Amino acid sequence: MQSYTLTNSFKRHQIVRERRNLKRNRIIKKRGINKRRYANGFNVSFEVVPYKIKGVFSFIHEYDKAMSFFEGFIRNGKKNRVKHFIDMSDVENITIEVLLYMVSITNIWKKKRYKYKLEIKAPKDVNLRSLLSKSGLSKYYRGNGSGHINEVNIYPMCDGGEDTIDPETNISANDRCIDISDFAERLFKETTDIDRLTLKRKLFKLTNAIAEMIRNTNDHAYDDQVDEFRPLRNWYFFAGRVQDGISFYFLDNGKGIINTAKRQIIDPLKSIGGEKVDIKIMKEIFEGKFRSRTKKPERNKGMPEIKDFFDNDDIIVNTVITNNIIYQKTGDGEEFRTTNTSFKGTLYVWILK
Amino acid sequence: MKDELKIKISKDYYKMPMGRYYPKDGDYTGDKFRKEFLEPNFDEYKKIIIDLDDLYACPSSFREEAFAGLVRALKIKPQDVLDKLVFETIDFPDLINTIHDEIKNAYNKQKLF
Repeated sequence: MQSYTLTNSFKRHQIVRERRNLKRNRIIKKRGINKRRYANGFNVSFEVVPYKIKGVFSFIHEYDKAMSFFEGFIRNGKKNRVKHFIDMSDVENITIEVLLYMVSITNIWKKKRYKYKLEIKAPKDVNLRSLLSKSGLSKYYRGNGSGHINEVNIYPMCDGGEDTIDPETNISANDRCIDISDFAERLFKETTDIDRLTLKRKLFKLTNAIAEMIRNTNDHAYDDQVDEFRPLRNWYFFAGRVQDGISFYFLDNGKGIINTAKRQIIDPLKSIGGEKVDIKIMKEIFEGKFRSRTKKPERNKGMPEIKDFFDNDDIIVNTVITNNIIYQKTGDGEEFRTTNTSFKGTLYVWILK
Repeated sequence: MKDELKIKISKDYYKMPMGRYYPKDGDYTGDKFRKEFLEPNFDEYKKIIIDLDDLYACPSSFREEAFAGLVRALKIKPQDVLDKLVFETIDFPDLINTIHDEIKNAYNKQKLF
């Protein structure tokens, strides 16, 4: 009969295993988590915070409702070691800008080295599931995701405001503009019989506006004297074909147009605030009457150019959300209104026909 | 003094210039274009013809710093810049008026005028 002796290495492993089991049992007992969930890799040291989103999830259509979710999301995110479980199974409609906002917030958490996890339960609706998977969202939440979306009608989420180069793809802001313009050109050529020169001018205005938005991320969306915000700057972009043309979404995660304006010029007015003052500031910025404390007339031309672009006849719908102001332009005219909750950054959404 | 110099931005510089200052705002900025193409040739040529066609865009930060920036950089009058630079484009005719306005309104720190 063959005899076996325990080697020192085996004994060491046995001790480690026993210690690990003891620790596991202690945690399970202390936190009341069942063994199967532990075995499935459920990290017990993360507090699970569930969210349930129903109906329409959109800043454009239901701003207050979407914002109340994000207020809780941001508040919980400030706690360390939180697992956000977002149940979107009963969502009936979702627009991309809320996803961009979510990515923007969690990217800031990443840079601030907050410990968090995120799990999204996808909508039951097949079209919404498809939109989510094609949007490029997974690029930001799956470590090994390449982010490559093989969908000709969608320009998937991208970003790259930091240091003018997208750190992941190494694409400069200049080349990103070219890429977006080429995408739009291809779609317009496929869907319209527009002549070459008209298309060229349309794309020129579009690319110009996007370039201005990118520049605003660096120039105006941040107060450069506040260094702590500089490493967090970024912009996010998405575009996709819709029935009437192409819809574009651009979000920067800066201080927002109104807050930046107040910091720059209107220190005495800062204490006055109020919705009428904010709307007035927004209108003046759009019209190019706003001047920073540098009083340099060569600056602050970006926003009026963006507004000019939005005023052209090819834009069907346009929304700008920044701080506590929502600007919306539809076929019925334009409207400025104030909100109770402040939007972090500036969002531009438009449809170009 | 030579007669004229022709510069096609999309070919000689880049088809998508943007930003004001190099390298802070990127590789193809207004001040870089001005220093590489305009300032060294400003006194060399009677006319500098700038072709704006085939650009993807010409954002305000680039435009203003490249052309109106000459007034500040060389400490000259806006009219001197307007007399020297000739803009040409078939694709974007409105752009010429915009650039002219920016040059006319160029800020001069020295308050020479």
